[in-house]
Amino acid sequence: MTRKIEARSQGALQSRSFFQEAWIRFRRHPLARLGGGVLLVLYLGALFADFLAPYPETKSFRDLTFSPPTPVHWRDENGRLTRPYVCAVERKRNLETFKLEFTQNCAQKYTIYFFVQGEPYRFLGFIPANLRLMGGEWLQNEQAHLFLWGTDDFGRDLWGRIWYGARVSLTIGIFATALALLIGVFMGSLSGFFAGKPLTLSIGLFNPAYREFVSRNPLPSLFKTLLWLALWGGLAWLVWVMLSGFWATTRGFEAVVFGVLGVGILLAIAYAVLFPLIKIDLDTIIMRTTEILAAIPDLFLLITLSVLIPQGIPPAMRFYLVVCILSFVNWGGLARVMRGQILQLREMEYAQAAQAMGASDSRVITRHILPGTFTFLIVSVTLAIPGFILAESGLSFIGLGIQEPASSWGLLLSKAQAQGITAFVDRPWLLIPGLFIFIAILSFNFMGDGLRDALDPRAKR
Amino acid sequence: MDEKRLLEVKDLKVHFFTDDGVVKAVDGVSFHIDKGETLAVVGESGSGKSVTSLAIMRLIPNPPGRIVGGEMLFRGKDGQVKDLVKQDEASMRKIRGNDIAMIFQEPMTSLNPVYTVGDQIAEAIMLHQGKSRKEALELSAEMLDLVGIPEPRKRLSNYPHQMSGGMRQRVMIAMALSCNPSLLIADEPTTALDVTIQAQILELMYKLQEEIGMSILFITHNLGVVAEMADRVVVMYAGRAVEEADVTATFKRSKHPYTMGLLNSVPRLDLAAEHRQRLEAIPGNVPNPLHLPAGCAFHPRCKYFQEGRCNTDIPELQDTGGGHMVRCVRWAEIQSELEVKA
Repeated sequence: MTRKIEARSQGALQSRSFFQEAWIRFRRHPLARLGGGVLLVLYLGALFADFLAPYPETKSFRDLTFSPPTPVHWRDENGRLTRPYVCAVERKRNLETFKLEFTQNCAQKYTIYFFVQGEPYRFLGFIPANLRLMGGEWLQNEQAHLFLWGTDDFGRDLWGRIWYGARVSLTIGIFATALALLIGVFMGSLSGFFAGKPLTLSIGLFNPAYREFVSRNPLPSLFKTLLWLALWGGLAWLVWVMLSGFWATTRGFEAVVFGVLGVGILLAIAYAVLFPLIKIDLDTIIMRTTEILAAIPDLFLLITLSVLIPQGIPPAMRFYLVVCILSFVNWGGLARVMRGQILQLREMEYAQAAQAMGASDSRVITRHILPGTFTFLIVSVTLAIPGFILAESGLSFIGLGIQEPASSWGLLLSKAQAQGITAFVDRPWLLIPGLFIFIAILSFNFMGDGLRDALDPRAKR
Repeated sequence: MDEKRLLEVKDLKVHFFTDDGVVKAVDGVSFHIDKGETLAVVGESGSGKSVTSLAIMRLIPNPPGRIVGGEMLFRGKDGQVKDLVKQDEASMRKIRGNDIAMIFQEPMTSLNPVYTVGDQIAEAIMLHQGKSRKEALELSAEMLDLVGIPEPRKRLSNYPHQMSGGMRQRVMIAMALSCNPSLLIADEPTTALDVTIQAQILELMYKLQEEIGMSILFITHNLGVVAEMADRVVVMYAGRAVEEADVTATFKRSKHPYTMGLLNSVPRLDLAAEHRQRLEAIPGNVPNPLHLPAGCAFHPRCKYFQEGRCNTDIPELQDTGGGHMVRCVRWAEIQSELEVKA
């Protein structure tokens, strides 16, 4: 027995972690690469919106509403290539057709300069800057205007507002997903871990089981008892407040009915605290809640909740409220799939092996079960973001999401709708925000697809 | 408890309360393990071997399962005797991994795919010995070397998917032994491996046991493995121990019809051609645990069944001399019957 029993040497492998392998697989996916690239451009555009846009977000030219894209000239009158320049544009009503017409006056050429000093702004909200991509003296003096993609109903530059709007539209997806993820993962994990394991809610002070419970480890049990007493006491107090309110405001028959009902509830609480052992199945509660949420039509719920947002609050506040609403409506789906994942993983042998090694429940959960859901979460998040972007666009489109003077793609697109069908014929540039929504959604879906393939644990190595 | 005893299980009862009724997965099992000894628990699937091992670790999924009775006296590393049934969860956690470690059947799934093997071995060490991560990894490398994995330091940063089944089982063993447990529970550790690797793993365990001096509780249905590894054998059937003896007595002088049946259903190459017989399978199946037959649970499949004696009362475990215990009312008659035949 002195012989060393060695395993076959397989040649020590270069260790590549799972995520390194996934990255290699992701890069092999052409559409995912494309999607990722486009998204990178869009997000960078949103970050540097101030730099890209020649005008500040809310700068409006009342006499140039619905101005078509300013033509940028590359050749002079003789047909020779020159620096790009624009002409001054005037709006006049055609007295024969009564239509507004925009006429160029090219007597004076206004050359477009790049990387110029423009109107000052604060980069990232606190760094003072004034560098802008395009412009010139004439732009600041308003001798001529540069509307690459035309203007909207207030005469605001659409090109700039699309990038400002990208900030809202693209980040709302991430914020809302993050929040929904937080709620969904928390609820789903609770539900998954406690599936089939009812939680003891109240142990019953006069229940024989209580004495045994306290004798096992007195201090924590006493603490637990106090906690539950406080909780149940609070509930009883709430019922009592409601009851006395009813008592004060109603007379006669209702008072009697609610009195009897309320006293009944109070007695039931007292009974529950004193005698029986109450166990609740967290899984059932959470899952039924998600089902109730899922049973109400999403759009209806969204609209109802959005109406509750008070008017006249600052746009930033409104942004956060919209995020909250979106994630509240959508956490259920994430919670359900999370629960499924947890249920599957908690039966894995390595979870049991970790327990057999002496790891506590919380350690098994956080170190051995949750990491197993990461790949799945990354994919479902990428695929959930476009849904939120669409939902925000929809809300803003019907005027319940982001509101003027802030900008978002859905809000910008609603300008096209507000002017009726003429938008398609007379002002097609108002549809450009829709194109951006379309591209962003498509890119997210491509990238999510690629990520799903890359992170699939069953993928060939 | 006797000084050399490590674990003494007395009348252990584990019941599962299912919607269809109470499943008595383990119903009054008693055995003991001495220091440095290997005890094999043998039986068909569903006989309660794995539940017994999980009960010792107190890892019975609750609900539906619960230990409803019995004692499990265990001598910890500190020399104190504790009843494992009565320990609370916190002190059980200190025992798990530190005093009693476990190896599972499936090396493919019992390692977490998202961590390197080094991390996983180190986790146990950090958990029980309060060592820093660096020290723990150092120790892990030593453990990998001990279980015969070449280039252990490089292997620390490997992920489980980069290893073969045999290597993973070695890692599992390294993990289990990293805290020097006094009892190692091996739940069919070689079932999922191919034969050559099986032999290597068994040899490795044998060697490590000699070096470290731990006891092993070996759960298996492979009688070849039992003959190789065990000092004593407990044969289980339908939640009860039906025979307990040392390994030679089990193989040479088995007294319970079920053990004989098990032995006869193993193909043998060591007999001369004229002595070879057809393989004798035990007819029938393991009984439904919800409706165990009255009396001896084995009687519907037993060829020595006698109406009125076997199917009335559950037979007692009788000592037939020299610690050879048998749970059969007719063992003496069967014994003389067999002698006459021979």
